[in-house]
Amino acid sequence: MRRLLVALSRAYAFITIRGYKVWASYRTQVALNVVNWVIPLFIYYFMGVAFHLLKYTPDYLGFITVGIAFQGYFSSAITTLAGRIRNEELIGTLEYYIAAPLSPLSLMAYSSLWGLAINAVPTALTLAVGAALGVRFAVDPLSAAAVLALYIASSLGLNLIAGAVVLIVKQGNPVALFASVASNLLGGTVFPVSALPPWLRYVSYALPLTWGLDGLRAAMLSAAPIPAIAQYIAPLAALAAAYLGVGVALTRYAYYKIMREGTVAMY
Amino acid sequence: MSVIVEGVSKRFGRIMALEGVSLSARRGEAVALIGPNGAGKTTLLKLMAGILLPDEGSVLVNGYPAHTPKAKERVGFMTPQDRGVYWRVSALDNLVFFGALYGMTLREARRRAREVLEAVGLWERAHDRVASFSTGMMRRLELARALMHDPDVLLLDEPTSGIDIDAKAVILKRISELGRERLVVLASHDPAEVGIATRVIHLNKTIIAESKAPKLLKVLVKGDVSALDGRFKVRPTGEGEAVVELGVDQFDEFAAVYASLRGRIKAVDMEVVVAYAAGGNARLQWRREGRRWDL
Repeated sequence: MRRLLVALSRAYAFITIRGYKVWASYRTQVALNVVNWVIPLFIYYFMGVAFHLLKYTPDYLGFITVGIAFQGYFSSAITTLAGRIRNEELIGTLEYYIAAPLSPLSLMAYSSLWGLAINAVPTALTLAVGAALGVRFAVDPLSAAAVLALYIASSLGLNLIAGAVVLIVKQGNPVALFASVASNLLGGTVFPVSALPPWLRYVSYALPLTWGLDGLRAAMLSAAPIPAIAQYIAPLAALAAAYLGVGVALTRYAYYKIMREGTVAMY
Repeated sequence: MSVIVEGVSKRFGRIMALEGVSLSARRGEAVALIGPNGAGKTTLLKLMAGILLPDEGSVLVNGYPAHTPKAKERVGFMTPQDRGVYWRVSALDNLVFFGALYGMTLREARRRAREVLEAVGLWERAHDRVASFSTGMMRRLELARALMHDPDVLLLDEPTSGIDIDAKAVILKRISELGRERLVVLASHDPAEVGIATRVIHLNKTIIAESKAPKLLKVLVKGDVSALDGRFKVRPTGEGEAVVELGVDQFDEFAAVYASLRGRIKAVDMEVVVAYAAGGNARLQWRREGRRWDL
């Protein structure tokens, strides 16, 4: 019971104090963030109108709504953790994090919480705007939850990798930036992966986003039950296990490397 | 409760920071690490705090390797920079956050935060953003943070650097009180800080000497020293300079008088004189080479 209370208290501290209160103290940033959250959906909607895509492929709006909502969740969650670690280095709090009795993995996992929490807002906003623009959702909650859980697990794995890289290289977030940009191009966010040349398609299969978005579209737009989306769930589970495994190993390596080299306080 | 450092060496690239350092300290001691810049004082503190790993040797806190959570639970740590707290949230939020990091529930953290903020004289400002704090208040907040989880071992790196005399007196008084029930290890250049120690370790890559508490401070001053006569032992050396000798317990009083003279005298150098623990009547003199001492 006490362990649960302590874990909840830590989660509260990371999400509410370190996450929300610090974020909300930059008011201009908050306003710009909110605007940025839904702009992409309007861009693709009006592109669809301009090129008559909505007329010929009426499902396109649903396709891009789910794509943008969850692609943003994926890329933003990753950039948020990497940015967070970088910030702690610059503020000088990273030394105190490492002086605290937390394992490397706990430290990174708690630090990821804010990214996961805050990025749920634009996801929900995008889905709401999509619904207002005419998307008809037909949701199988169990399927959607299963895909989402695996999707978040794989995102967390990439989160850990991005955070570990920042710990080591003391630079922005190259992995996170790559994951963000590549996912836009390769993850099937605004066009189907089948439109890519065959050799590039194989690269996209290594991204959890590709399987996650297809699975979520099936679960949220066609109410597909779990057996019908097994083709997405299986590769997504394998990728989640792989990314989490690499992320955990790299986090431990980075943590002890900076403690050995004495670069914890360096930025 | 103890800290045991056994044969520790630490190198950063080609620079040897510490070589074969061994020491042990226990509850009730206030140990001051003194030595020139680059002597390895901060490195030793960070090894004890478990945020650095030794290349050779071991550092144990209460019997556990210093980098393990079991050891870290009982250690409070404070660095000399004005960094390490979140400026855009309140002092209270900062302490609750770090309390949670150390395994306290929110209720415990809020209660404890009030206690430590009162102890360092900051409770009235608990809900203010840290960005509005003076340097002295920031240092007191950092001390409060180090005390949040009621640690057995307190590691302080220049705890009163860059702050005014009043704030320094508050912090040193509190640290001195804490030293009676905990183990305090502090790295310092400041005679007032060293003055609260019960044991002094002179470090320069390795331990050069260990002594009991410092006995005497010698301050070389310039200017009109007549105002100091009768209060302190003043010995003119010619050319408008004099050496003021005072016990370490007189440092705060001297600092207050010095400040009240508003530039009529200027401190230009200082020595801390201590007696070796082992070595009969031999004396160690630590001089702050070529560095002005500005109050």
